[in-house]
Amino acid sequence: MTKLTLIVLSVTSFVYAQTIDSNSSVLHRKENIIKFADHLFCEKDYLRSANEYLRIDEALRGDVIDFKIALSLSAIGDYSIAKNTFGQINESSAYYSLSKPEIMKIFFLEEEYSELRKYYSAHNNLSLLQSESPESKLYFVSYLKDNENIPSLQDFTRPFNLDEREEVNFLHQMKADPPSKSPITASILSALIPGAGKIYTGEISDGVIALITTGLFAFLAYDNFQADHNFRAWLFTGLAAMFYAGNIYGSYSSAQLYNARIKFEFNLRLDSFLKSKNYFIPPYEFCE
Amino acid sequence: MKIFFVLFLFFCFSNAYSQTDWVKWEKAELIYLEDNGQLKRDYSISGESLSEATLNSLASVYWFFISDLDGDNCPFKPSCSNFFVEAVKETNLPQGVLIFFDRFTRDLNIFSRANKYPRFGAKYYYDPVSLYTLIEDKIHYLPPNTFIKSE
Repeated sequence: MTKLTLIVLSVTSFVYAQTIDSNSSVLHRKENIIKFADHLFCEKDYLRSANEYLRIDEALRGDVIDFKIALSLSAIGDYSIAKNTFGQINESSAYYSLSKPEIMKIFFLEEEYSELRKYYSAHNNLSLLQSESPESKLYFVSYLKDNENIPSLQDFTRPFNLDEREEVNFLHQMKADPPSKSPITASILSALIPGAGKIYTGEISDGVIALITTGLFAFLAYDNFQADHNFRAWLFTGLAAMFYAGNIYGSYSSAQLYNARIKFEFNLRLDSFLKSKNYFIPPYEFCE
Repeated sequence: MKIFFVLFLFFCFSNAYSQTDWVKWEKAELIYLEDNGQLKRDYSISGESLSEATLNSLASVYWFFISDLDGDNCPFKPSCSNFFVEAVKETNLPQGVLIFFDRFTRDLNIFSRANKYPRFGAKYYYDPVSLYTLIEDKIHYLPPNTFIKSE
């Protein structure tokens, strides 16, 4: 009898488990989906939080949820959908003004700097550029990333507060007048004194080695000419000439590499500054 | 008692069968051969043009009779001989020769390599041809000591 009860119990529990309608479960009600999605959002699990928010019917969502969906999608790099979702927020909503810097941030992350400035001009009065809004700051910072003429230092730094101004001043100076090296100067220097171009670009040991190598082969060529060993003399002359010409070429490319390093370090510093300031967007109070 | 045993086995097997994650814990196929660039060399003597065929032939002869016997000693990736072949293929013969002599000069400098080049694997410095073609768009700067997994 006990065995039969056990068998019936196990079979019933199996059958019951298969017949539960998951959609009618209390866990899948709108308020519980929002609770779970909010939890995921605050845990920075943006992929799953966006998926949970998207389970709610579009008509029932509201601006807060749409805004959080867009924030989640932006955080996971799904920029085009995030931009559309931010753009769909109604002008009468409190989240409309918050969505503008977020859209500009997405333009920035997509490296669409001229589009960012066009968006700003289309949605804001250009006289507001001097205000300390995130939009104005992003508008000016976008000039640090592309090749457009950068505004004057006075105009550029005006929207930034005192904490930010020192770094912004430095970045503006680096962009307006980068400490780059001229490849042509480097080549000319190496043509005059082998290795001098490399020393000019900061590669001191490379420059000294180039001078020693070229000098050594030139001396060997001279010495063999003096001793009437013509074959060896011409061989060393050829090698000296190749090392000499190679060094002129190398000095040019070394200056190009130096400039690439300056640009890389500038972008690294700018990106790290923007990340530390969260692209000038103040923190939200969703997770407090 | 038998029926309990059968039920117990049934539960155990059904549970074990549903745990498909165990697949990823399977023993990995380990390859103990060192990843040596010399093993991947292309010894062909043909090329798209006469100069390329000549260059490939000279490189193959150098690799077969000298470099393979001498061992994998170049501290750079690509090695100097590969660098020369790639430089000529990517640019032209005169420019490739200039790029090679510049590389050779840098190869002689044993003093500041560690603070200058990114690392390729455990023992190479990464120094690709694309940095020296004078075309700025091809220059992708990598800071020193960045680890590169593949070319």
